[in-house]
Amino acid sequence: MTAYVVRRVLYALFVLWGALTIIFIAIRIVPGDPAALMLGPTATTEDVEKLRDNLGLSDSMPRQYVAFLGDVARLDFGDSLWLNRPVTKSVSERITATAKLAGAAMLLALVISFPLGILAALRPRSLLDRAVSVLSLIGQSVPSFWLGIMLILVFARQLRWLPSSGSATWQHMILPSITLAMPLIGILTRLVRSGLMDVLYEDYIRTARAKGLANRVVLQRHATRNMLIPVVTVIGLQLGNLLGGAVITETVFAWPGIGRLLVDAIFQRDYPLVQASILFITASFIFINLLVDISYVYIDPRIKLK
Amino acid sequence: MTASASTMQNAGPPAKLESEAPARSSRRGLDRKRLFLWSLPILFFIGAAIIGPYIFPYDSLIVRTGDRLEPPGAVLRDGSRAWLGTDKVGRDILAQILEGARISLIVGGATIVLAGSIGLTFGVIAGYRGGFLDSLLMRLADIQLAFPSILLAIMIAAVLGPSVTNVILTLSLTRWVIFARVSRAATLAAKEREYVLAARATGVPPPLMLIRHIIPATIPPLLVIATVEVGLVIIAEASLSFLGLGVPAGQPSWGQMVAIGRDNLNTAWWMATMPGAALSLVVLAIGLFGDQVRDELDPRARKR
Amino acid sequence: MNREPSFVVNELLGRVNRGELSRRTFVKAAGILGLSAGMSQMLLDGRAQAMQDSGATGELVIALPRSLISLDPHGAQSVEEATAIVNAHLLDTLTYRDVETGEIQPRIATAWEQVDDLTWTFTIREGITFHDGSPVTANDVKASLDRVLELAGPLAPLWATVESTEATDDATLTIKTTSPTGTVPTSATLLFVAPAAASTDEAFYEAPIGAGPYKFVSWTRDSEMVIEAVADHWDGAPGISRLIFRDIPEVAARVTSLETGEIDITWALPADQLPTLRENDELNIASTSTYAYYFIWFNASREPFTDVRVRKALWHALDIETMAADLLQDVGVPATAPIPSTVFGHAPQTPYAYDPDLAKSLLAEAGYPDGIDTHIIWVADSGPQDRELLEVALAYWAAVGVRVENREQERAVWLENLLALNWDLDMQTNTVRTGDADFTLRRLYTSAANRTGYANPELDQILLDALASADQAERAELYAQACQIIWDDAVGIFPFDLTENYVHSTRLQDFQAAPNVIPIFTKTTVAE
Repeated sequence: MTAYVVRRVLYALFVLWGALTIIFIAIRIVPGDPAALMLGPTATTEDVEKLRDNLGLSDSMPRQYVAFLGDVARLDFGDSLWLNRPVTKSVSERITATAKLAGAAMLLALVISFPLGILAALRPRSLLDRAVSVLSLIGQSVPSFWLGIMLILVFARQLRWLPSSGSATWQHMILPSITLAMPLIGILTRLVRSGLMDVLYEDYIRTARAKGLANRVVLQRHATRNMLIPVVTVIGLQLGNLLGGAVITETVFAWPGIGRLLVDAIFQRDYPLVQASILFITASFIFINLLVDISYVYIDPRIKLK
Repeated sequence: MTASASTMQNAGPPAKLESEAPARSSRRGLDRKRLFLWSLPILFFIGAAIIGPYIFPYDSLIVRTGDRLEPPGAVLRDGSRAWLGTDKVGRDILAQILEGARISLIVGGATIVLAGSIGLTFGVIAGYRGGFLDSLLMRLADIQLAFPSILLAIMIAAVLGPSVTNVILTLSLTRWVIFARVSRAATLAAKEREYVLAARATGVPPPLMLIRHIIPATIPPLLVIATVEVGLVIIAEASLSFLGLGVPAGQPSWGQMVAIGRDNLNTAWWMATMPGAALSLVVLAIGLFGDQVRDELDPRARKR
Repeated sequence: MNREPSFVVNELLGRVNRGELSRRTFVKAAGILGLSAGMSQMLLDGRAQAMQDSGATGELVIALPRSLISLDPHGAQSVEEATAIVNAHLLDTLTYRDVETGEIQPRIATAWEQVDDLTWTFTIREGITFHDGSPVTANDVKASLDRVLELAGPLAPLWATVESTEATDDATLTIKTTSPTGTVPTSATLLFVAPAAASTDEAFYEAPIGAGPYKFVSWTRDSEMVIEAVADHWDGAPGISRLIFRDIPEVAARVTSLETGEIDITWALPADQLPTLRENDELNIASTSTYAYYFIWFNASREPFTDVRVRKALWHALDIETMAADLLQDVGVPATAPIPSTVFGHAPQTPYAYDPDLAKSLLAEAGYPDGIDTHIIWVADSGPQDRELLEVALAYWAAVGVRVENREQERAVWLENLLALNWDLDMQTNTVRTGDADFTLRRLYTSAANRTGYANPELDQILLDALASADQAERAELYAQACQIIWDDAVGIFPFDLTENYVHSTRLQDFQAAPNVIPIFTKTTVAE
């Protein structure tokens, strides 16, 4: 187990390095100059040159890269060019906001999808089963940017029940959480249903049922465990992605999350901020997947990690 | 980009597919009539995209500022009726949606073909050869997955300029991984089958081997993935356009229409509502069809 | 009472003032410190009395059109309106431009003088202090100016000719320039003054201490910023005791908040939203022409725009009156010069009439009877109704045979192309930040700037002379000539000047609509 974790961490570091290197080069190759952007179209070439020097952007790219790797090794990610403050500050503020939203959306998705999926699996081919499967398909089909806007139209504009954008109070979280949760509900419901169906009709469950165990007990003791593996995998992947920032949902609801920060940073060509955001997003994605893999052992002791 | 919405929706199926191993293609033949019935809504949209623009022609250069922001069903100054309303410069929303349908379908179709081909090639090679090449390709896939696709979109648009082709390129580059993973898994499974092992033992050359035995085995799971993916790609295109990173200005895209309509929610709700509804219906229709394809190709699902 | 508790009581009283502590908690806390309830009550009443004396009452909630992302008044964000508005209240500037007369008025500087061609001196107001009680001296002003220069941000070009800065004594700042610079007092309207000791510290700008009429209370990024009236400010106490800047980036949400009374004022709303708001009895709209305007440039270094007839043809092809009436409505009017009418140096020109036939014949005359194929670059969200204006312009041009490809670009890419002259046509808005023609005309239209490929030595000379002169009448005359040359040569199409509509609740009184879109709330009051 320890050896496994060590290997996975080393591998994670490799992927991180790869992503960071690609981003480092890519963001600098792309047309656009942070200094020119800051000064706007009225600035002269000399003004721009001066600012470039000031920001340390005049060095050659390999030189900047070496300096960058050195800084990263010391966990120093530099100052944002655009915000003129340490990038770690901005990134950590935005992560908090994103994590709140991701947590709420995931909770909502779990609370809704598990009962729905289980009910559907227990009565396959019933009207309820069909309704659930169509509903979950709708959840996956409606694009989040449109769903968000429709929720705003109905609940914020027409009914005036909820605020439409911003992040000041808990009420602000409701609409974006629903928007983020919808596709999750779609996927998880289907997964719970099909996972449960797979095991429900396997021999040992039939035996358990034949022995006269109540449905509830069968579900709790046997079925859930087997169903959980794919579900946990998907939850992990989705959570990793939610933490990566749901750019669209954050944009629609003006939620100050990490996704919007990354996009703004890219548009501003704010190199240090882009790098730090990517590092965080990638790291959280990898870390959560690692946790998922480790959790397999606890869900199903037959699994051995190697 | 729509990190949550699109990249990951596909996380479900592949995980499941890999665990279930590639579907042994059903020997019973497909239930063509049922599939055809379920494909009708999609055919309707394809038909609308092809024929629609002839009935409701759209020209971005014909603007009527006197007829701007008219609600659905309004009669315009020239006596024509705007069934779904008009936009901020007086152009018909219905005509724009039909024009946008073309973009969606072109991008959706082309991306699946391109991403599918790249994924199939890489996946089969990785799975068949194994070893270092396999690790290399799969690590590349991991890095690609961790890399935000929105950044890729910005880069491609910035370097090559915005165009439909570049949107297809961007989306293919972010989508090949899923196809690669699935075809790799299918290849690994196929490699171990008796008839393949036997063919190998008799010295059938690898290229022939791939074409005859391996690639056919990867097709059914790839088709299942493709039906799921095409809807996601259409959403992804709309999402890119929503963020202003999609098709160029002047070519109506559903995502772009929703983005523009969003600023007019107070005064013209139809601008954002109508194209989004069209988009959702198309993706839903594809999803329903995809379910049927899966039922047909996956015997285990059929049993239920 | 010994010194210690009184200090604590004072501190607590401050908290009550800032709204962090309720009156009841204060009485309780004061009780623990040995104060009788009656005495606490007296202190509280005294506080109310003091606040009444200062005249400051109530609070005002302001929704800025764009998020406040930095309070640093000298760096990258210094010209962002959100940053400038908050800092105008918190830090204050050396001078300011009177909204009505357009004249430069004293703020932290009481007087200024051009001692010789290359030297300006500013006299710093005596006896004024920063919010922490330390005095404001010439050294603080110098440090702020030095920081602007050192950071080389968007404000630095205003001071490009500065050779040295010196605090000659506590009350005198001397600025030496390398060439005569008449715009120094105007540039000083954007010089925000921070204490010398703290101003180099980045963290300082998370919660700055300034000399303005309001002092810092709290700032929650992406949510809200609160500032509070300084009762004993040299300019008199502000009329409203608390200003709250709320961050609501989405337009529709801001409109709703305005209607529900959640916020008191906002601006930069789309034209289509204004009619409904105008009908609302609880809202007033204060409108003003601004320093912002639209233009469409021609790349005069590229065929066919080297030919003035082609440039004029494209201008005559546009029905600017109709575009303004149908699309811009209350947010813009047809322009009368290459700079907005509110800007110092503006001189009205003869409009280009909408005449598609003339446009066609000009094109034919220039050798393009079959029209031309070209493209236009622009960035989304660069101005009100930008996409619609562009789409309509494309339609008008198509009608005279000019087929223009719509190249919407990401801002960074657009800017790179723009500066590299890698374009045919360019549409954008621009703001004359200082309200002085020099800010745009000299920086954009000299041959040295080479923004459009248009070069005219006569124009160059006029613009440089206008920069050097400190005689405002002479400068106005020079800019009038410059306006005419740029307009008549059709260096660009100058279609619209933009109007700002400040929509505010009727409880806000004495509000003055600001043309630089940096509204000042110091002299406003709220009715309860």
